[in-house]
Amino acid sequence: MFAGHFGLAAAVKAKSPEVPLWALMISTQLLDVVFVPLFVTGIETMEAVNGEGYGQSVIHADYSHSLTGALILAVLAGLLSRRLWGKRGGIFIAFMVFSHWLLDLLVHHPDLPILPGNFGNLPLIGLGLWAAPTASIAVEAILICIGIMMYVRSLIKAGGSVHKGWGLASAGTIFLLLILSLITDVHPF
Amino acid sequence: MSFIIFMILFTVVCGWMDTKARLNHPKGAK
Repeated sequence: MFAGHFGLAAAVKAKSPEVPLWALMISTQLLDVVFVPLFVTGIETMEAVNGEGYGQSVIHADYSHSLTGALILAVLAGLLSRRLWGKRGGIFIAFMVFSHWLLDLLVHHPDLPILPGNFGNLPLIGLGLWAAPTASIAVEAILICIGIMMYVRSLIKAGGSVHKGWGLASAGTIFLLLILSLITDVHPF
Repeated sequence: MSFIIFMILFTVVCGWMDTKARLNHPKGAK
């Protein structure tokens, strides 16, 4: 999943005004941020199984996307964020980091390990919604819609403490980028 | 590559715009 994570971050911003949007955006994608250098160095890999299309890859991210790895990253991120934005902020950030794994669990083919490095060769998990791309895209679109709606509602509710022009620009930009991120994920340029 | 581009756009651009929108933030619009 890609765009759906960003949509969730926009939604959670509405509920966590003390945490900056940039922190929510990074935390929702932290597992993938960790995946990138591991992929570049060949420690984690991707394998196209049915061509190169949307959701067609099996992802061998045995460290960044293991259940244990995700929990560890979530706790670490939460503890760091707690120092910056308080206990509630830390909880939100930890939740956002782990939410990435939960949403990936929904769409990934069974390629998510329980333990880092797939230690113990436990069964790999993934509910495989990517096998039904229309449904998977619909879920991401719903997350995007909920995200932007909650974000806009929070700006309206904030009333006089929000600059109307910048609020509009922010919401418009987020909406546009959410749509673009989904389109480019489904149809890479 | 698109992941990196969108991460930068969402984090830097949207993060900056959201901050500017908050009038009670030290870096918000005046």
